[in-house]
Amino acid sequence: MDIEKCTGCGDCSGVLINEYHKPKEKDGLLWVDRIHIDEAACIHCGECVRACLSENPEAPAMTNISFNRIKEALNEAASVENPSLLQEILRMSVNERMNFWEEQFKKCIKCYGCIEMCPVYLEPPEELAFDRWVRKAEIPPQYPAFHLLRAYHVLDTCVLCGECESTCPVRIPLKTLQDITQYFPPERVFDLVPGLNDELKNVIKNFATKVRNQVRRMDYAV
Amino acid sequence: MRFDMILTTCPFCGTGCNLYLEVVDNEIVGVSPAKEHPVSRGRLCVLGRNAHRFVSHPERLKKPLKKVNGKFVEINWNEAIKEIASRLQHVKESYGPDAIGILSSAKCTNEENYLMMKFARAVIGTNNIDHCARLCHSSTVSGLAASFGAGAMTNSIPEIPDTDCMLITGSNPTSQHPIISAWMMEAKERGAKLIVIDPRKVPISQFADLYLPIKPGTNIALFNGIAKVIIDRNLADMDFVSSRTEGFDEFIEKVRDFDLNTVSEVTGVDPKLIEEAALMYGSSEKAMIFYAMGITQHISGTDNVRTIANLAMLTGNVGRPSTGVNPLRGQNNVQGACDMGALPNVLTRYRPVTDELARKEFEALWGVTLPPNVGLTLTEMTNAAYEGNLKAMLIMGENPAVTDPNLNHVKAGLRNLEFLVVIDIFLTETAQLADFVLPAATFAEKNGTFTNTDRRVQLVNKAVDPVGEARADWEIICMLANAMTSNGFDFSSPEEIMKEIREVTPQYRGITYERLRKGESLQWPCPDETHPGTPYLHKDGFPRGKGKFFAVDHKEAHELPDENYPFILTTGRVPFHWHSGSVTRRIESLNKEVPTGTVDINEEDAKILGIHDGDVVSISSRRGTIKVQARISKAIKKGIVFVPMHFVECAVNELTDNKYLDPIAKIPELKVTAVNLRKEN
Repeated sequence: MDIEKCTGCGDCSGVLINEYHKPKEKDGLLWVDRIHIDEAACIHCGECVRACLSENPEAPAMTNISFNRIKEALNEAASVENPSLLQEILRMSVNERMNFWEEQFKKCIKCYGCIEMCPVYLEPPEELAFDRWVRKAEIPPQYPAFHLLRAYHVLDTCVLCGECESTCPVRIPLKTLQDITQYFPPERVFDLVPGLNDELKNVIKNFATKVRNQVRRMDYAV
Repeated sequence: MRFDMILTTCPFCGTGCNLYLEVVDNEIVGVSPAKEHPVSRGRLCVLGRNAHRFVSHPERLKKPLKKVNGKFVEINWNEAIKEIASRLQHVKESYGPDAIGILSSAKCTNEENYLMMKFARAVIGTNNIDHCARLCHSSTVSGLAASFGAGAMTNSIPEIPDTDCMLITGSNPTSQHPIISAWMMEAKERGAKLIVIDPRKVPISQFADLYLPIKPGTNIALFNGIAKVIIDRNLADMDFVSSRTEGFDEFIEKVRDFDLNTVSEVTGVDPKLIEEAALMYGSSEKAMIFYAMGITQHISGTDNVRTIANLAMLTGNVGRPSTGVNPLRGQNNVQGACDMGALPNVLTRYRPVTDELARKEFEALWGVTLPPNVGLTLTEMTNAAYEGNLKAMLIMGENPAVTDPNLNHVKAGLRNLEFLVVIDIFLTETAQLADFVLPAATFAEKNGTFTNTDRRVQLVNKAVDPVGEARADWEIICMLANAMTSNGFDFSSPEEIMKEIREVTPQYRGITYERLRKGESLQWPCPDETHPGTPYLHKDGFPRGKGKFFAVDHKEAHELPDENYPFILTTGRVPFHWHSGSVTRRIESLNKEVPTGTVDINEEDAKILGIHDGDVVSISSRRGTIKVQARISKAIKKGIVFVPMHFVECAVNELTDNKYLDPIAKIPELKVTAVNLRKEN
């Protein structure tokens, strides 16, 4: 399928659309949920094309979702008074962001649901393993290493489906965290989710450089 | 290849989350949360997400075992059942039916608990039937039965976000009822106030408006003190008190003695904090109290519960949505096992065995004569076994050799039995002591119902066939009963058993498998098939008529610290394991997170004793010594140490006491044991 046509409707990945992550229009483009196909993993089954509104406008798989999404996006473009969570975070100061994420992450009960439910989660690269950075048995897990590591474990595979967020018992906005780590380069991420130690920052930066050319959506960062 | 998604109820805690088991060709490959479920809403905790990982574990018991010359040999079912039946019969004839004790199981279904209590009473002829509720919420059942007339959570989990104030005491919901803690965090985000009372700074206290670090075993003083402030500041709901309750005058007379300074001295809590907590709870329009083992596992357990009920009645926080007294029940079906009468003093519907009318009703249905005397509790059974008065035990799905207090005593008692039969899914520490072990089916291999903590009766659906020759507990009980030539055990499915339960249990009468299969979420009481169930209790009146205030005196814990044993040991759980660990320690992902036990020690105490994080410490009480790794913590009050209960290699119950029990509920004081600590070299 032609990725340039992608509107980010998410039908191909069965994305959950709700009040917490609405699509956003910016410069005439829906910019949050753009699909990335891992070409190494793709088996060319064609299911995504069949589901895709742009590729198959006559009979897309989930017409209602696509339709509502586009309608919603258009409405939102008309009023900026109702910013998305991501937009709010972008507007915050570093301290405010720190407080925001601390409040969110301290709810974590470490159920590992964000990993269990993730359709693309594989054994993470050794340098990013939890064992290396996160103390075991501790609830909540230490800020913000656990959550940032989890997000970077799927840096090159995430389809932004949002299952991590919808299964989170304590409603941490994990999809927004995915948006941040998927759309922004690590240096910017450490500013949007502040508080990580330098050692781990470097490890993540190096890892991101390695898989950089597989994460095309980072190019769309605002 | 066949792929199925089987909707069922989680087998771990009392929250009662629903989940789908993903089944490929008779093998469970995964768990998927159920988004439509009113309590779990597509969310699960770490245990629920791993709920399938023990079902086909290689160590599952697959054939009946018989101990021959100290070793287990496999035998076939017919032989096993025949021999067990004849040996039980022999004990019954030689020593009388009361020489047999039966432990039912809060992990098993309602149907199985009902059958087990029927087996004890109708087949064996004894009321010696009990289960692990004795060790957790027996004091809730006795305390709330006395205050309200019904011993269950008064309100519902989905009501939590609409409350104005939550008072959580002696409970660590983030670890033990994680999905309920998520509801609480939601309430907090919506602006509810939160008061946490606990000797440990449990994770939920991060969100607390007030955190009261109480000394273990001083609950009565604290709640009486809070009540006094509420009365003195005119925050009592006098309309409610005068129209719905009795015993207020004696109560008010009693709490006069509990002024803030006295209470502060007893509890170790700053008087200002106590006052603020009282004002916060007392001035909220809708306030919910949540509690668990920190309240119940004391020799004053029943009285503790009564003081909590006092507080709710005093402020009119009963009988309305988002209020109430809410014991968070531990096991997946501990509510159901109690409802089914797997207790030594009551039949189903909590009707006393001493009530002739109640007995007559059951006698007519079952066609037998029932024993009229109250039976032995679980704690009394192990004592009786130790003393030689109990000769045989039948234990279904419980592991007292890890979970009961004073393990050396418990194990000596079990060894002292002439005959022990254990029905379980793994060869547990208790099963190792048995003469016969029967292999049972897990939750995923059978049908039935569990009743969760907010009285929701939910289906358990079979996803795969039992491993090897394992059978569902209800089938095993029926086989045993039939081998003892008893009538009334010709059931072909749990649904048929439920029909009989509904006949004798008005609260369950309207709950049919058909309605549950259609997706209805029914909370008892549900008296008829058109009744929608009852989300909150005591709306227009209490089952006992008027709610009763109890004037309760503070009573010291039995074993206070002294020179030789200067610390208070308190026990509990960790979020990654379950009770005796027989299931969760066989799940790799959980073991990886928490491989063994630790002792939490306050950092100042550790400094004085020269103990560092990770040091091995030996902890001794008057009953035993264990060695365990230290974890230095700011979150625990000075003078108090905490050890989780799951780990047999450092079994904390070797230290706890089994002799001094709550006089009514017979619950042991698992939350206060005097111990000393010594750093090992």
